[in-house]
Amino acid sequence: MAINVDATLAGIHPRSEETVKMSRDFDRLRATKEDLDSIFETDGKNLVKLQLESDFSRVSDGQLLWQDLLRPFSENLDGLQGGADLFRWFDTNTFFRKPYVLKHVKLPKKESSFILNYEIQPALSLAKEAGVKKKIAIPGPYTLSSLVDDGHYKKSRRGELVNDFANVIRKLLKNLAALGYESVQLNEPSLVYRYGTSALTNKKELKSFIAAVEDNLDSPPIPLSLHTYFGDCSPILERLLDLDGISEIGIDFTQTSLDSIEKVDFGDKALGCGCVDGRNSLVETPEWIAEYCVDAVRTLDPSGVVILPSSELKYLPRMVADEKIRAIGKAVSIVKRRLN
Amino acid sequence: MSGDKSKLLPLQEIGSIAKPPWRVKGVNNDSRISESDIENAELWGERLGVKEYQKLIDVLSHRSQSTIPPTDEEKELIRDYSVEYVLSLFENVGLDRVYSGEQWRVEMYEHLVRNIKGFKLLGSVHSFDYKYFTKGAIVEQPEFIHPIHLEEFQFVKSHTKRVVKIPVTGPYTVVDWSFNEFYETAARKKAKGRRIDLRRTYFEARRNFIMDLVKNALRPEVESLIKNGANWIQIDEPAVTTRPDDEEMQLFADAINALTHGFNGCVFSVHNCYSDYKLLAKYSVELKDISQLALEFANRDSTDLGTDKEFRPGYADLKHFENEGYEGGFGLGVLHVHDFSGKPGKGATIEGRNVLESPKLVRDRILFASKLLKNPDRISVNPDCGLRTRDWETTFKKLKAMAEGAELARAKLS
Repeated sequence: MAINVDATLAGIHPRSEETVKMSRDFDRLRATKEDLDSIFETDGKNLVKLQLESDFSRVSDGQLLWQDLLRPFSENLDGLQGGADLFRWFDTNTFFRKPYVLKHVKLPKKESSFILNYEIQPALSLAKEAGVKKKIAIPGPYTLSSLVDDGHYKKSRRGELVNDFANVIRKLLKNLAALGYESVQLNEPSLVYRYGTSALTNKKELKSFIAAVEDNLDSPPIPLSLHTYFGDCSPILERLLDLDGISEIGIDFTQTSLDSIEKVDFGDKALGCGCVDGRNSLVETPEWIAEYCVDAVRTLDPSGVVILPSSELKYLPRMVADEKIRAIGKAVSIVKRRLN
Repeated sequence: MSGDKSKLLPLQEIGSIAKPPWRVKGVNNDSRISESDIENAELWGERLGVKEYQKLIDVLSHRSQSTIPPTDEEKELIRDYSVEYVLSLFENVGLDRVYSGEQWRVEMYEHLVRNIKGFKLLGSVHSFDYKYFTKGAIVEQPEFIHPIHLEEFQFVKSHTKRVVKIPVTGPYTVVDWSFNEFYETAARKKAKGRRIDLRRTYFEARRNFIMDLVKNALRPEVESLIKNGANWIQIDEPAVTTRPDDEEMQLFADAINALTHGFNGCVFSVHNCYSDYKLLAKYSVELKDISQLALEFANRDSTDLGTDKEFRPGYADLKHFENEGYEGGFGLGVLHVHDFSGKPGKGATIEGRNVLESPKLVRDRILFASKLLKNPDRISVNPDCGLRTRDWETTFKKLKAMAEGAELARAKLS
């Protein structure tokens, strides 16, 4: 039987050098908001065009306006206050502003379509015109709960916090569907992060994550994928594959060895094959990517495969990240040929 | 050991100082010197007693009228004066160990890799909000092509009588902040035909990169400095403990030992900040030639007065080093160098986004550390990190408070 082969980005894409310059100028009061909006529009359009040229089936605007993965949430959810303090984003050399939990976290009624404010709409219109799926990556409930400064739930009610974030996502999915999204990826680096506490090291936390997803995201209105990265997912992969509401599990193969999961049964789930290193500038050849993906598919027997970077590409300069998109695009056709 | 036995609690600088506006604009072909830039140079030249600063004012005045880009000679003169200004600032407040405030350098990473063969700067990477940094990749074997810091060192040495302590960006940080193309390619080639474990490949490539960087580029650099009279080198390693596991920490220790091994007559110190000191302490005893760890503590401390542990939570981390058996010296960070949020305690005041430590707060921080270490001879006193994010007025006030606080501590200890 033919297997579906797709390609997509894993989240926030780097800004172009022109956007970097303009945003720096804006920050130093040497450029206007109109100048900045205009350069972001050009940047987003170029990125969507590149994904279309590279045969990506799920296309995003690179989430170029997102200052960090949590920012739209910390700026808009009820119960959260946008933080001023910068914290290191995992073991990268980038930083995020840690939100503070003031009270019960929920989706605001008035601003329920807040994602709209972080979209580059003229860029996403190009995707719509081309008839491809509009995609977005958002932080998953466990990662959200791990990265906030919790002044409300405290340790004993951590499960409740994870559940409340899952509930926010459940409601948000309806809004995203209304905004035309056809693919939503939950980014969950905290589940498997190789350093420090994670669901790998704390069974109780894994249990609360599983329960939160089962209770809130069992039948999502949009296909949901879950991408694990910055750590080895092998110890918890089978538990993730049991989640009914998740149709695709993404694996960061720079951290998880294929050997360690070769006995895992993917069943009806698709594989997000994150073999393209999102944190190194060495651009993989299409042949190398294809070879890795074919091996992964033959080993794990998933229902489909999506080729994507191991993590967001925002850790790379734009020129390199774009090269990685092109390489993934070429790899898709090789994989299709070899598997079908 | 402190490296300077003549004085209890010697004072030292630790990193970069903000480049004055006339320094930034004066060497930029597209910028124009303004009246306020000239006033700034006059004000600080006069206040710090910089020798012959009028020469700088003349050049800046000329630049403010000119529409053609500055000549190389003008750029050099402006850059050199910025070093003299920093040295005068340090000497004025009474620092014993000084350097250039890194006025000659673009920035601690870029300056180094631009001058080592094998690196290629690839472009901008997001740091946060609308802030970015330039990141490079190693694309061939690293190679020393010419001394990188020698000219700067010689200039500083000829303009001060204080102990000169040269900061050099450390191998672990350079590798952690660079992409690894060359060694990753080699490692993947080695694995050809077999299923590849990218995590193992990555680490092997990282080890090969760091060891070659030390051997082929950083050791020759250190050697050239020592041959020309350098007797204190500070190895800056802010990236250490970013990846907190034993394999990575061993890599750091191995690289530092490979870098410092066999050089006589030079003190080596390591600067690290905003880090996991429990983990660093575990490996501090493995750093065979390191005489001092210069660390940030003020950032994690309270601003209340007092020498009991309830008032000095930031300095309690020193005990990790004691528990591990580390016997070397400390560069004790006593000044917070970033924006301060919250309400200060009785030992500090707020000016804008700056916290200004009082001399008494500095004193209490030193006295607590002395008590914990049981030996004040092991302590040198410095800011947490470079003060480059503070304006000169704030920097001056902070360093002055540091010097006065150390004097108060000396009086108590002697």
